Amino acid sequence: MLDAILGWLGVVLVSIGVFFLFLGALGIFRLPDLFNRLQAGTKSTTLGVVATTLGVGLLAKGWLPFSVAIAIFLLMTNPISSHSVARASYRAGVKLYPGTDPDECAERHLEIHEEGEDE
Amino acid sequence: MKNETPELFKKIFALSVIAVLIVGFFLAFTEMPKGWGVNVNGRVSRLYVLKNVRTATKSLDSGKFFAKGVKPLRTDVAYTPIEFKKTANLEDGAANVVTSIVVDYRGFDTLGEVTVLFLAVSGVMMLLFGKRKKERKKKTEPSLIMYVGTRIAFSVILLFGIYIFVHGHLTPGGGFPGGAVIASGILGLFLGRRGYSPNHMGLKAFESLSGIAFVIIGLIGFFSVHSFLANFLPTGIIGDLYSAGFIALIYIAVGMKVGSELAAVVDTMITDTEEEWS
Repeated sequence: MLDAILGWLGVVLVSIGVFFLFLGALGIFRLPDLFNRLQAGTKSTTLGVVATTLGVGLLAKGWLPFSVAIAIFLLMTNPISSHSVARASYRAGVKLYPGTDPDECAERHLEIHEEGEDE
Repeated sequence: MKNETPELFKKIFALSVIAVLIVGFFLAFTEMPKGWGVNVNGRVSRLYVLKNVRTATKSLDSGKFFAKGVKPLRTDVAYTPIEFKKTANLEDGAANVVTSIVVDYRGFDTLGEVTVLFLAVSGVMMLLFGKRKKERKKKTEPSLIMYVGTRIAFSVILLFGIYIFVHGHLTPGGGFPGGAVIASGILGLFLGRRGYSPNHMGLKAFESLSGIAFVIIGLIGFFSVHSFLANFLPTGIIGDLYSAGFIALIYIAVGMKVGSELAAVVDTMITDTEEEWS
């Protein structure tokens, strides 16, 4: 009974994860500029991959510790890598999509830039 | 408002978080049952080249297997199936057949491969040491998120690399991928802070000591079993962590050597454009 419940929970988790991975792929195709694409590619794939690995861990007995470890490692590293990619491309001068109206990072970027040149 | 919590508490908190992570990953890697629920039949180890495992096992159990066209290699010895966690005192106790060939039967060749890697690394370092660029590349300091994140990820990556080369005789890993994983963790440390440089004397000591350890293990085999790089330790039960004799020792040495060498290569490649001519 418990096995069946856990198995169906795993199936639901895997389908949620697959749905979000599909949304991430769609966002990478459809969104206009790099930052929007990064957001689609990171947020949805983080949730999608974590849900998929947890679901697989529930489906296949004995893989749960492995999948929890993988999920924790992904939760630690995936946002950091996307953060660094976005920061580096912003500082390298990648142009924003014109619909992004208030560029709130610009003033802060200037401050940081002056600090950096003071060194 | 900004600096209300003392520095000591912050450090203790960070250390405890890292310690919990390390202990958790170590338990997750070592203490879990291996192959449980994955349906690893102990008897298929000789037969997994045949795609249909279930039929092969069934016919093996009923004793009909060798009558159906496949001839055993030796007919003078009765066939006994090898079972994980049960069979002991094999000629070579490694659960991974490739590892037993690469490290045990062809151990001398692996020593040569390590030497090839050493030569390649020395060539790269000689080439890069000759021309250090005069102009300093403009680089911005990485953010705090990157700094903290790479330092936390480094501990986990280091542990994973150690896991790969300690379990070289059980899993399809080994010293070379383990060392590469450790070097990639050190590359993350380089990305996290601008002026990072590892302890060069420590890297050199690791590299030379692990190379010496490889040769010393081979010499112990030479003096005790009368063959260079021969297995002089008990092989144990197949599938256990403490099995397969000296394969784990050699892979620990190889992993340390490869990790420190690749880290030194990363170090020279990154600091080359940063430092000024001296």
